[in-house]
Amino acid sequence: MNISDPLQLLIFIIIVNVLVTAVGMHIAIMMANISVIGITGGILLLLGAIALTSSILYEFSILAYIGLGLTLWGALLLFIRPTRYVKSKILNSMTVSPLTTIHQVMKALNYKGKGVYLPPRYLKAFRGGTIFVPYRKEVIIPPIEEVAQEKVFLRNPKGVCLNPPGLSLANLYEDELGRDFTMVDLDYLQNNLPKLFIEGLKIAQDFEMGMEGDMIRARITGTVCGELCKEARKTPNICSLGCPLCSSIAIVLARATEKPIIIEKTNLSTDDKTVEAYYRILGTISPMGFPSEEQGVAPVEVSAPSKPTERHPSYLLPSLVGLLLAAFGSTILAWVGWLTWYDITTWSKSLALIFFGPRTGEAISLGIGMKVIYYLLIGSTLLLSGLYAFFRKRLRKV
Amino acid sequence: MSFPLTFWDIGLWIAVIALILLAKSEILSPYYGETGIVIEENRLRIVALFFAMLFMLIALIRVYQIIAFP
Repeated sequence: MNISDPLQLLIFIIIVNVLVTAVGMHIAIMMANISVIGITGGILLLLGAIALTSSILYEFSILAYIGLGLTLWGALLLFIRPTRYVKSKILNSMTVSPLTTIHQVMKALNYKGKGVYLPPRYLKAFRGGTIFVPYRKEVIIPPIEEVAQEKVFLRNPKGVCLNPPGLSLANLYEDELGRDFTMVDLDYLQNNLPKLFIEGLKIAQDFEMGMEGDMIRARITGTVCGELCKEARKTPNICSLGCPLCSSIAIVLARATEKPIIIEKTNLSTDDKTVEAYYRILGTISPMGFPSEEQGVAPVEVSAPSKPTERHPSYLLPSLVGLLLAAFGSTILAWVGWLTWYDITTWSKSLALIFFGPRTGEAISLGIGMKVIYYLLIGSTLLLSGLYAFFRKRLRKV
Repeated sequence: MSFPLTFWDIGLWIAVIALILLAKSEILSPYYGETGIVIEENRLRIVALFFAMLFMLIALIRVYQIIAFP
């Protein structure tokens, strides 16, 4: 059996695919159970293969459409199934205790200084990270040769070197972006961290980074770490070390600027959804010398290093979706234009007749009385929605 | 015994699928605040783009046929 009527064909394709999409997506999104999704995808694939084989055996086109739909969505379900995830409540509960423990130890040892995130040239491993906390309540940058010995407790200047809480997170950023942050500049971070935070890791709903002199402001909206931030802030001065999120940004900045960084202050909005962190880039230090306290905290002109800014090609993916929708619309509109031109030049039809006239018996009526005006509207809708999707992000940035 | 669908039938099917997937991937985009969905949206977007490109290719073949063999 074959479907000869284009109307039946179109409606059938849409119904089968929308139904299978709805069921597949519902399972994927709502259940969020990896094993169930895997099993469902496998079953859909198997059923699809059986339907496709049967359609060839019996030359039955309906079975072929069902088979194609099931196979596609089965494969898609297996392809888009989520990686393992942890609820934010569990994550926060697991993170707060180690943070407060570090702070308790620091307090017990009477270390009062503000944590200084040291750039990679202090370290043997570029993917490492060290935060130096001075004994006295001041900002001091230790000399490289002191830190290079990889001691935890330093004598001159007196302080302690620790692994920052956000070190693994910062390394994860590098892995996701596929770039070594020591090889990028601040422009690269401004362009790529929002995409990473929003789209790649889904840490936040929005992320902005701005520079004012030697200060860098990071604004993280709708972050999953909001509750963690709220809990952590109950411990006084904990933000001088930083929570994993603020700390990871400080490490990234230290790597990109190749200068020591301190977390100047952090703010949490009243609804616990927006975190604003201010970072200060400390002055240039000589590799051998020990900078004075003044040198350490003096504001300096921040100039972005002259390194090439590159973007990962996947940055274009969201724009491509909009562009393709616009291309679909343009194709339909171009076809409508060509049809109109043909009807005018060949048949001398009026515009009213071309757009509103019946097309019964012609293929373009699809058996449901489709007129050219309908195609014009469909094409325009696709074009406009595509353009809207394409420009939406740019408008938001403005 | 043969596959009951023609090249152009599959082209139409691909067009419908591409539109559904493109719209879906756009609606589920984290840029609309949908950061709590646990599927791999990037992969969904790649599949949507693949089908859209495929349809554009089929449309180009059709256009070529119309122009070359009127």
